[in-house]
Amino acid sequence: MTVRGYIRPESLWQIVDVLHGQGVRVVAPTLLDGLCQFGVVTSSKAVVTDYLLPQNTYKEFLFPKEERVLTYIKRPEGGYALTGPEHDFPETVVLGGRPCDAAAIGVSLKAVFGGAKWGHEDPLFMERLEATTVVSISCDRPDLSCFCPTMGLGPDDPTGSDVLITRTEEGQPVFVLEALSPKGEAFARRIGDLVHGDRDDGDLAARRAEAGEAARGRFVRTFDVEGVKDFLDDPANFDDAMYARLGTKCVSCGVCTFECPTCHCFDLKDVGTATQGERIKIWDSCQFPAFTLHASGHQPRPLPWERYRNRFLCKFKIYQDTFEAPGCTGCGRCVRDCPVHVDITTYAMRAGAKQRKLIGIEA
Amino acid sequence: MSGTALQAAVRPGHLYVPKLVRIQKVIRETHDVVTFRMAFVDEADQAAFSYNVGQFGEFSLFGMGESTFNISSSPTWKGYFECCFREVGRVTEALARLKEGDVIGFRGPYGNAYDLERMRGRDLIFAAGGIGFPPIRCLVWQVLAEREKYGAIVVVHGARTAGDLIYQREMEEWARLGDVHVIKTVDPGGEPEGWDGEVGFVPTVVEERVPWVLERRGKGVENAMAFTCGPPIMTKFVIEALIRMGFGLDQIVLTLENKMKCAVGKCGRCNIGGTYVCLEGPIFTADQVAAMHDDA
Repeated sequence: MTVRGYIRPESLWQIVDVLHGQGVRVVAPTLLDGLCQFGVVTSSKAVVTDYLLPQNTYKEFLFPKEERVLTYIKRPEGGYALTGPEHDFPETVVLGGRPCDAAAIGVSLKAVFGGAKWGHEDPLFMERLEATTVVSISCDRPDLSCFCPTMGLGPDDPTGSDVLITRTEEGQPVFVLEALSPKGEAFARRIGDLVHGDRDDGDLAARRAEAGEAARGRFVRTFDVEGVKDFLDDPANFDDAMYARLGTKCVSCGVCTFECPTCHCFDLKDVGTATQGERIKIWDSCQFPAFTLHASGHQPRPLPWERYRNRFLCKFKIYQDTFEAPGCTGCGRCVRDCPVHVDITTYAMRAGAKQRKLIGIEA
Repeated sequence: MSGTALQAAVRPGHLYVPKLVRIQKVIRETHDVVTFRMAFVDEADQAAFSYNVGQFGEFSLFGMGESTFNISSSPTWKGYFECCFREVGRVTEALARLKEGDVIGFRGPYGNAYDLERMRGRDLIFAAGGIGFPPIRCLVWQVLAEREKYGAIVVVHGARTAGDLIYQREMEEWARLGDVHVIKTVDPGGEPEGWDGEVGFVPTVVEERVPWVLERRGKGVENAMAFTCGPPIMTKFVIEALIRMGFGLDQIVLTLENKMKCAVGKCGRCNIGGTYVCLEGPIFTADQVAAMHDDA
């Protein structure tokens, strides 16, 4: 049993003040550039409390948009002095993330950067993950773009979280706190007084389970996810007409990739002169034409719809095949925020065999 | 300061931090193709370095960035290693201006290697076009280092013009060995006055010349293996020619290249459908390639 007790609604965000007082960096939903985004907060007053999903994901606190991987200085007598990244990895609590982001970052990005299958661990990501405690809050009001249950998760799924906090619905609402890992236990001890009923409590567990069940009933968007994988596994379907039809309007802005919690692509670039500068790891996007453009001029994916096809493949096949982790956790950001309404679930609905029958593509 | 001290500040094993290598020799193969012979600045790095034939690395000029090249030397050569590249973009053009004694960055080796075990006792056909020759050349030298373990050897190297053929001196050296069939060819119109090689595209030359060699060996096509690297259109027609000669797809080996940055399966751009070239390749059999999505 992992239920550690409950938090009263009025004290939920006081967690920020308690942790900040203890010198812990807190990342929570806050208002940045007029949008609800994950950002560093130092006070409960800075938190946006009425939100479904921040515009960004908190992956940028583990896999920064841009970070130095080395510094070089050319030596007058020849050669170079190289220094490594020398980053510090401050103890961080991510508070108020959702289960979709927790699974995406704690399982999928970890599978890529941790190198469990292929080796080559990325210590920059892994050190930050080690220093981070993920305190997620279950969703109770998914919107029309959400589809985490289709991806095998759910609004109250604990995957990737150290702590899960779920708002109960019956009677006086409270937030039930579950500690799911040693880091989660340490977090519960840290916020001590804010947690009540610090013992196994069958009633709390039952109310928390009911709340999750109720939230699960509020999702509408779904598709046949196994059927999608079968469709993508067959190379013959790579030329399916739907790719051009659905993707021609794509403007290759890349917003789907930058907002995606599982997208991991980056560029390595030198910034500086021939004598000194640094090499940086910087977010990149498979939607940009230069991403795969060879120096020879050869371009494997010249058209926007071909690049979006790659994104669809990556989310529902390549991630699983290469990293043995889900490529999509159903957060819906790419559906919600695409400026021209390219919708990855429309692809999925057409690709899944059951839907293909329903909409008459196949008998 | 010694090389050891130069590297000491770098966190050990950091994924994206290269080691420093010094260019010992610059060989200008053609007007736009250059070979570097290199050794690690730190002697301990050099002593610890080993690679298998067919692997690749990330070569960098600080301030310009990294480029992905095959390690074009044979692992049987000790004390140094080589890469060979065409000046075709920003980094390669800057690299080509470097001189002997200059220092660059190297990360690697990465990727899989040719399956030498499977090649033992077989007749080997090598077919390379243009700057696709270095990943074949390293294998030829590896095979020649233990010549007795292999059957007949045919090397076909083609380029657009005679001036674009690389490793010409080495091809002459192989021809002098007496038991290697070395064929150089240029595209029609690329032959100079008095040209002593073939005129024709690599696939055509393979189809004209290889069956005769295999017939004389008398072991049949099923005992042969073919290795090809070059422009996509060339390798496509080489494979078709080999199939017409009776080769099975699993007897044809390709070494692929795609744009790469990290070389360790994280930056996300070298995939062909569901296959990351850096992790699962760069060396594949033609039946593996045939099973991939048509995304190259």
